[in-house]
Amino acid sequence: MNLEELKVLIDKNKELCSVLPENTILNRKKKKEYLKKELETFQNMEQDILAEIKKRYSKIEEFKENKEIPILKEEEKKLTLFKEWNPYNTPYEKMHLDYYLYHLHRYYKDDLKSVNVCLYSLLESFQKVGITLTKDDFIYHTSAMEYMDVVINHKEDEKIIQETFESLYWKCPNIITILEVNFKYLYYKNLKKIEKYYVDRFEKVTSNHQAEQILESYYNTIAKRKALEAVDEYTILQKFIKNRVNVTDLNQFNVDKKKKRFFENLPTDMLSILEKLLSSLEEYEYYMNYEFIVNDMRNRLSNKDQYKGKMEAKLKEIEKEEKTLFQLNETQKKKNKSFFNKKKKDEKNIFKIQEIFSHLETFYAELDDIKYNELIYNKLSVDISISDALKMVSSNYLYFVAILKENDATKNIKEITKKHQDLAYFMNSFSFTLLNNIHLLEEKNISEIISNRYKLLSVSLEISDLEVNNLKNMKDDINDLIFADNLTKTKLNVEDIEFYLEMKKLKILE
Amino acid sequence: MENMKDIKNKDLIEMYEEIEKYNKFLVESLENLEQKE
Repeated sequence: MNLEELKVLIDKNKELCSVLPENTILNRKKKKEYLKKELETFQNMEQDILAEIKKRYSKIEEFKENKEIPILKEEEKKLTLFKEWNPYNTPYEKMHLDYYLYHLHRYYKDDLKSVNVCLYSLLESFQKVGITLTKDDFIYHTSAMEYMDVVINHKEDEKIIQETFESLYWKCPNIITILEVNFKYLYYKNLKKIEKYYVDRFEKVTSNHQAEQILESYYNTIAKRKALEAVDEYTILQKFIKNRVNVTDLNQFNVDKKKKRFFENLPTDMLSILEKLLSSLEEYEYYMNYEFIVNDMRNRLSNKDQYKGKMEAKLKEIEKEEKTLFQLNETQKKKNKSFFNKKKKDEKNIFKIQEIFSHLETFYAELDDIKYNELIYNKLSVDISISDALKMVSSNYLYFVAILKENDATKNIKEITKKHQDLAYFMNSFSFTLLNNIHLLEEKNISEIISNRYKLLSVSLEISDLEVNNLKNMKDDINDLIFADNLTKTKLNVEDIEFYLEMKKLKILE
Repeated sequence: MENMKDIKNKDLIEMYEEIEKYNKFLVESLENLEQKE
């Protein structure tokens, strides 16, 4: 029996039921018997259909993720250690001091819990490179020393930490800023030891494998994992469940429409062309989104000769101020102990300490930008590609935050951090074919290059199609076409997926 | 019911819903009849 036959049968039976007489006890008894029998028949039918629905649903639900995928993901994680020898990272970024100190600065007026989480992360970062910090390292200010003593030695006792902070805060309201600058001082003080740690680690890892081999292995693992995921029924279903893909976009009518949008005549290697095009569009989209950064990098690179020696000079300036600060701190300590301390002179000393600290805070803030330019001076040659320049950008959180804020002051730090993570992942995992072949200092019409390239492969792609507002739709369409093609290589089809998703929504199977 | 293999998923769900509705109708009809007694 099919659906139409069932509908006809039910209508007929309903009609019969309505004409059955109920006027006598006997008629009512007969009708009751008829209804009971009918109910039994259709209840059985309902159960049979439900069993069939469950069977079909379970068949789809039983798809498990290909066992190789989590293994590859794990492998990928292990191989990310290559990021440690990213040439565009100094140990400062490798230790994530850029991130933690920025957030310490930001949390200053937020909440103490986040401040302390940051402090512990910073202590751990130093610990990891073989430097165990103690209270005596926080010599910028006696309050900083007192607070770090409690933070280090009473980690589990939130109450003591809170009380100590409150009592110190009134004596020294800029205690967190002092700690921030003190951590920077500790980094530069221990820089040689930290650098050695990373050199040793690199040598240890590369004693068994070549760095290039590890990098190649990382890209191969990603490619293999992506290829498996593309035809993995479980992964595909998850994409539908999480609404990353829409069933309607994949029906035959829409798929054909999308194919016509790109090709007048379908080429035999359509999938390979689409994959290449998608890849080019992804690179191009990042370029468009961060064109203002590319321009800034271009300016910085053009002026690279001006950066020579700036960092060394600034560090010397800092060292000089720090020497004075530590001398003043010592004098202050002695005065505090002295019985005959004169209040007037004390205030003068405290004022001087504050003044020098304020200079150091400014100097270290300036050092962030100087350090970035120094990296440009040391690592970027004039023939550097756009992809390498963006790789350097993605390796430097502080620069990224500063330039994004400069470009759009309304962006909050959460959004910026997410964008930074996204760019860093993309720059580290993507195999470039376009931006790695264009020099940063070259002025090229990239949209024209892409359009011409794909016209040669019979793709209908005009320069106007490559306007930034069109990119997302175009990428979505290509993704749908690739997805639809991959679907044909699996045990799934659009109809089954539609059924599975509907069943998930309906309460029939509960 | 036999030969459900050839029924499309969409039709199968609709058949289930039709039968469910019809069974409700039958139960109500039976209840009405019992009330009349």
